[in-house]
Amino acid sequence: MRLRRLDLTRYGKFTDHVIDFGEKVDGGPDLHIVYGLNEAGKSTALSGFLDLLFGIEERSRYDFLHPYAAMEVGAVLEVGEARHELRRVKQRTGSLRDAAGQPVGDGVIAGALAGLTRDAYRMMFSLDDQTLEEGGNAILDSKGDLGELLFSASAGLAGLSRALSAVTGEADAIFRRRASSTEIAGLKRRLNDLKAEREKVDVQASAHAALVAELRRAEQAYDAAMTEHGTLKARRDDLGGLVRAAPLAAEHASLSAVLAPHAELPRPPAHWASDLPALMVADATLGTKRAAADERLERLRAEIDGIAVDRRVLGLADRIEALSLGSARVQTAEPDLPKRRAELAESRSRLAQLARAIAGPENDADPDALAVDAATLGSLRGLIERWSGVEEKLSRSREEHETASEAFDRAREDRAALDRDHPALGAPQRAALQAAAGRVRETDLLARRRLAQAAARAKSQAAEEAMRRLAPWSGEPAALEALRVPSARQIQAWRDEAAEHALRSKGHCERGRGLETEGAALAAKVAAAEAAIGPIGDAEAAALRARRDAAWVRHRDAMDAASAAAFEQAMQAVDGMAEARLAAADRLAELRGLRRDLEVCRAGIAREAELLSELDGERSDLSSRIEAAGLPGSGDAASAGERLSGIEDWLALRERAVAAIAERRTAEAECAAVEAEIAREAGALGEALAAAGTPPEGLDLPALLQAADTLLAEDARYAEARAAADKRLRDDARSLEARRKDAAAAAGDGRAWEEAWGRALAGTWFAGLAADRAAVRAIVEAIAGLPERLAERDGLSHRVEAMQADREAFLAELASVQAALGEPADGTEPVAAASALRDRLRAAGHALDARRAKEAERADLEAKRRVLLEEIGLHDARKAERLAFFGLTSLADVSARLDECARRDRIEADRDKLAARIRQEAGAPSLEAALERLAEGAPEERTQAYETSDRRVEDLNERLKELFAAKSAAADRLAAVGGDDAVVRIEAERRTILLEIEDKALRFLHLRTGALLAERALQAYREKHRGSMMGRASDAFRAMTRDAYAGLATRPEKDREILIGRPSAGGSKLATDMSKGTRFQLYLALRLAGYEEFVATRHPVPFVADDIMETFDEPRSEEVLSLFGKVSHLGQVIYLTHHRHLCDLARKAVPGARVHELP
Amino acid sequence: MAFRFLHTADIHLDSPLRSLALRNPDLAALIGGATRQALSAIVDLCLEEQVDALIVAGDLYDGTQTSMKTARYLAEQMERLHRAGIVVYKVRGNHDALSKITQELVLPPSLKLFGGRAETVTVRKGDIEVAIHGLSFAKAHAPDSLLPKYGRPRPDAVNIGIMHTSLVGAAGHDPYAPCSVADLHEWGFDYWALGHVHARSEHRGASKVVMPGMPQGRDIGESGLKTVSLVTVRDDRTILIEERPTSIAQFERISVDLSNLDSWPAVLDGIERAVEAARSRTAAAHLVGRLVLGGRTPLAWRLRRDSDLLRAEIEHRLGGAGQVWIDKIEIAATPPDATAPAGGIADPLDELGALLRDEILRQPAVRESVGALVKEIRDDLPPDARRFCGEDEAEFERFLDRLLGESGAEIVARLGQDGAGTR
Repeated sequence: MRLRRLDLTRYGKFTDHVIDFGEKVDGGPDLHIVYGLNEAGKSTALSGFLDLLFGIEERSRYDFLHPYAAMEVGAVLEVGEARHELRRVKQRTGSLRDAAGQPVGDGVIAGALAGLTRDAYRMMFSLDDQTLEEGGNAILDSKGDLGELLFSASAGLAGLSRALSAVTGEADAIFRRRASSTEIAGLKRRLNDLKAEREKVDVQASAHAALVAELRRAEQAYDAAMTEHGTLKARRDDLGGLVRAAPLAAEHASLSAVLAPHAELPRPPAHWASDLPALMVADATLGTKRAAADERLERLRAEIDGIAVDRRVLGLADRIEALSLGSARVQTAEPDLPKRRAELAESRSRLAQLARAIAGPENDADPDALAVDAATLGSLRGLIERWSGVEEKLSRSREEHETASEAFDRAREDRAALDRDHPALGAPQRAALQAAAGRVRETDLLARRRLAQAAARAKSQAAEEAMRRLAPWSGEPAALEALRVPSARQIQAWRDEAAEHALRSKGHCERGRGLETEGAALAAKVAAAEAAIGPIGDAEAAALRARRDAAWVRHRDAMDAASAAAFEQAMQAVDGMAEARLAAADRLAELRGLRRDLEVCRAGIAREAELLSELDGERSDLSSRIEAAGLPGSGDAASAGERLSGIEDWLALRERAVAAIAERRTAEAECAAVEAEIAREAGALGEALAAAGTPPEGLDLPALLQAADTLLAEDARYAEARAAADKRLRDDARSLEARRKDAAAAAGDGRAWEEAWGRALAGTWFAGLAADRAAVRAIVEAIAGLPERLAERDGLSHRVEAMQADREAFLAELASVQAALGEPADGTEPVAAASALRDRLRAAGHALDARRAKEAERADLEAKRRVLLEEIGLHDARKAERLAFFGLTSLADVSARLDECARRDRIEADRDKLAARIRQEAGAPSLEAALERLAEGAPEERTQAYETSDRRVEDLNERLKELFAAKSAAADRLAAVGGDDAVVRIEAERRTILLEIEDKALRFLHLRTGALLAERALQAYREKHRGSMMGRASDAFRAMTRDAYAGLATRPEKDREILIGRPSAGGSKLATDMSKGTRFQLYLALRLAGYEEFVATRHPVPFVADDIMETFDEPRSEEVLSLFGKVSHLGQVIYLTHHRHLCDLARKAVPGARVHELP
Repeated sequence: MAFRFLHTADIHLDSPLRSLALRNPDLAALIGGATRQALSAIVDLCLEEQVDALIVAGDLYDGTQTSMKTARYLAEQMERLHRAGIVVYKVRGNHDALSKITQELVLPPSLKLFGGRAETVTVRKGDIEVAIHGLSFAKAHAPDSLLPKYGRPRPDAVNIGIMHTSLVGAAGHDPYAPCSVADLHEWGFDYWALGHVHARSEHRGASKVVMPGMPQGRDIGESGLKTVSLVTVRDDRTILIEERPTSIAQFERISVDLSNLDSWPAVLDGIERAVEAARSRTAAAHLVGRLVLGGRTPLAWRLRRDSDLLRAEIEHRLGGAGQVWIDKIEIAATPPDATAPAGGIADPLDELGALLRDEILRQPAVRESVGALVKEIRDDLPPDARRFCGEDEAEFERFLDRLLGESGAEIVARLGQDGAGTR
């Protein structure tokens, strides 16, 4: 494939830029230097080329000027002999187009590229600084490995060694035998940790069984020890009891001995000892107490007999007390009575004055009779208070009623005036008027008339214009409409006929022309054939034969040598001709054929001309027929077709004119119709107006409409006024009625008051004064104080009477009491007499009280003496019992004997306690049994046995504690086996780690196997390509180093083969020992060899290098360019640079190299 | 008054999950004890539904299970049922029969463990009499059918049989108490509560024959929804079977077609979409997915080379996708069909690949070296991690074939990409 032209149509900074690489010159180099300054777009052009081949990249960065949708790059590609003009746009599908813009498949490019991908193409066939640098490094990385170098130079891959060693490194990180830092080793360690962790927290089933067994054993041991402990402890306790009981038994015996002498001592009741001191005290005091009591009784009796009491006075005690009260009242009233009597007289006098004031001085009335009861008085007062209100209401309601009545009359008058001055339109008239006006307005007659008139004018103009267009025809519309015209079908028939004529004519002409051309060609061919054959045509042959025959005739006549020679010559000429004709028989035949064809052709031409002239006759016939229709528009047209077109045009104009005439007619009719309608509506409106009382006089429709509107509007206004007046009338009527009711209510109230007034006065002494309301009011006010005064007088009178009655009763009682006591009643000083009586009564009372107190004291004393006597009796009995019990005579002796008994009892109690302890310690039911047990063995032995068993019990206690701890621990251990998920979690992690180990192992194997396979594959690649590539690379390297190196060679090393340089000076140099620049050149040499290798078996593709010679000196640059020139004979080489001198250098090194400049 | 019971089997209590997804400690914390959670979920369900009984048709725990913590946990759960008055009917399967913890286990008295001789237990619920027939594996192997040992159905009772069986079994696997579904239908029981096969199946016929499957899958081989059967025996003796999901984590293969995805982000988007779709179909709280990436994409080689990066990026993206975890990524994607011209593709990389495939892989020495390499690492690994390269000679050879093929393709892709940076 070759890039003939690159069209940067809309790509990056380029718009419609073309780089034309031109034709490949046969035998010449195909090297192109593309020169451009920095940023001129060299890289853009390269990218554009790749985008053309492989499609514009998804996220292309060349869209800064032309957006994605507009981007386009094109090229002319030469693939073998074929040439393809292609364009690429940015689209998902169908992005490759041909020159016409039609989508084409990528197959045409893919085929030329032998299936290379974009990346592969870029890596293999484009070189820049960076790839050169990386390539140089790759030589170092590979340590000169030939397989790798050949492969990476062919594929343009630089990082091969690094990639391979990365793979190995990755694998080593995962696993190395016996290494501890690998990932797998780490995981294995974690597995061990987990195992330990599990062992720590888990209890296996087997261990569980062991734990259960252990618990059971511990329980059994503990139980056995407990039993032994119990037995031993019982024995020890038994012995201990006996040991402790032995001294107690001895003590018991000694106490028994102490008690023996007291065996005869009697056993008094227990309380005697405590009672005895009190008994002895009583014995000494009781006799003295009785003597003192007897003496006091005697004294009291004498005192009682000495007190005397006044019994008569005491019998009248109540009356004397009452007298003393009455005396006090009489004493108080004595000075008060005269004062009260004076007050009474004054009160009566005031009452008499009041009565006179009320009833008048002439009437000496009884004040009691003047009083009126309070209810009546209250009613009267209330009525008097209400009177003014009732009266005021009466007068106000009357006034309001009159006002309302007047307003109502006025409203009625106003309403009547409205009807009189502005009578309403009757409903039929109003309806007729509204209907007529509404119809006029709805039908919009006036507007329609305007429109119709305008339309009629327009249509009339249009019709006239259409008529004018018909020129040169002229005449009346009616004549136009009446004109007979050929039908469309007729015209079509004529047209078809004319078309057929034209077709036929054209056919004849074309055939004629074709025949003429053919004829000319045939004539030329005949001429050519004749020329080619030379003069051996039939004519020439005939001429030669004629000459021969003539020569023969002459020879026959002359028979000389000259004639013979002439004849022979003629004969030879004929023979030669015959031979030539024989040899050219085919061509002659062909010539003859050509001549025949020429004849046929000429006949054809004549026939066509004949047919044409026939056709002319038919044509003129058609023209005359058309002419006969006599229509304008046929004018002086050249052909029937044109004439028909003219006729058709005129007919179309006529159609339009006829239509315009019809439209004008319609418009005029419309005008007339509207006018008629207007007249009708005006009549109707006029009638309605007349009926409404406004007869129209010569008004047109708009004026009529206005009149009707005015009339209707006025009517509506007065209707509103009437409605308002009606409303006011109704309001006033309502108001009047309300006032009337008020007045009636006020009158009713007045009457009710009068009745109540009459009723209130009816029972009073001043009922006759009913009409004189002021007089009644005065009486009522005056009478108000009367009852109070009457009560005051009655009270005074009553008190005076009561005082007098009291005094008389007191005196009578005093006399009666004095008589009962037998005292003289002189009636003087009654108060003093009463007082003396009271004193006497008081003295008698005191004497009685004193006597009663003494008598009570004596009774008390007698009771105490009786008790004392009983006590003495009891004491004597108790004393006698104790003395008799002991056979003694004094209580003091008894006391001594009782002490003796008490001592004996204490000793006995001690002895019983001892007996009980002995029983308990010896574990015997009775003292006797206990003593028997004690007697059984020797005490020393027993003590020894006890101490032995006590020590054993202590020992067993310790053992029991240990066993219990063991049992608890075993139980705890079992209980600690929880149902938690610690083990599950560990197992889950362990399982995951095992999976991870497998995963890592697989990864390791993939990496290591891959590396192994790659190494072997590279070796195979080396074997396959070394032969062809090494020679080329060696030559290129020598040239590039300007013979500093004689070339390249290899050296085997283990299972590898190492590339070495052969310096011209002799020896060898490892690639790793070369200078950096030399390594670049070595790499370039290998790349060029790789390219040649590719080209050797495939279609070439353009090789692009982008300024790769920055580090090369001028001579080497020249060599490289020269090498490019050489390679460019195999395939197109494009070198991009911004160095002007390289362009010159290229021209010098490779004559025929072409330079293209980017703007 | 209906008789209701829950039927499960093959819980394999405390048997760990097998997935590299559990490398994530968060996930390990969440589902490390998944079989335990499944058991407690089953017990919860029993309590919620107030069933009358729980039927466990064998393999409650693994044969290799030796931790008494497992036994203790099991006992605790059974105790919960006991307290709620729910009876457990259990037979031993091949795994239970092996287990050492069986002897040490102390279970509540209401748990009925059927012995090595067939037994029948009857219970009455309302008007229904239910006869439950069961038989345990005495040893880990039962090469013959156990069916003849079962009692005949009790007339007038609803008969339920509990059996641990591989049914007709699968080729290449030892048969465990084999018997045919047809024989079971003929036996005359109303419901056969089976266990042993880890995938659920119901065989309708004369009776209900139900293999409930395990309640919690443990690896990608045990993928899909896992359930127990909630069975209601109605008064009219008809039987209603409802499936109830039990697994906390569900394993699923998630196939992703990467065809026409030609950029890394597009591939990630495609995977994310597929995973989200799978998540929305999954009932369990956690989805552990194995991504199977297929289709033709230009990124086929890059996906292989950068599979670790791919995994990290997907996991990062799924961080917000609600309890989705990646078990493993299988890359089956291939590069798009290049229209290779008749003479082959001119790229030396393709040539190298062809050399590798057609020559190097066939060299016996190469195969030998690789075989030695495999053995070297295999023998260095813990015994539990050696199965990846096959259990016998034939499997080993197949493994080598696969290893060589895959490694060759990978290294060529990698050289092309790493050698060129972007290529």
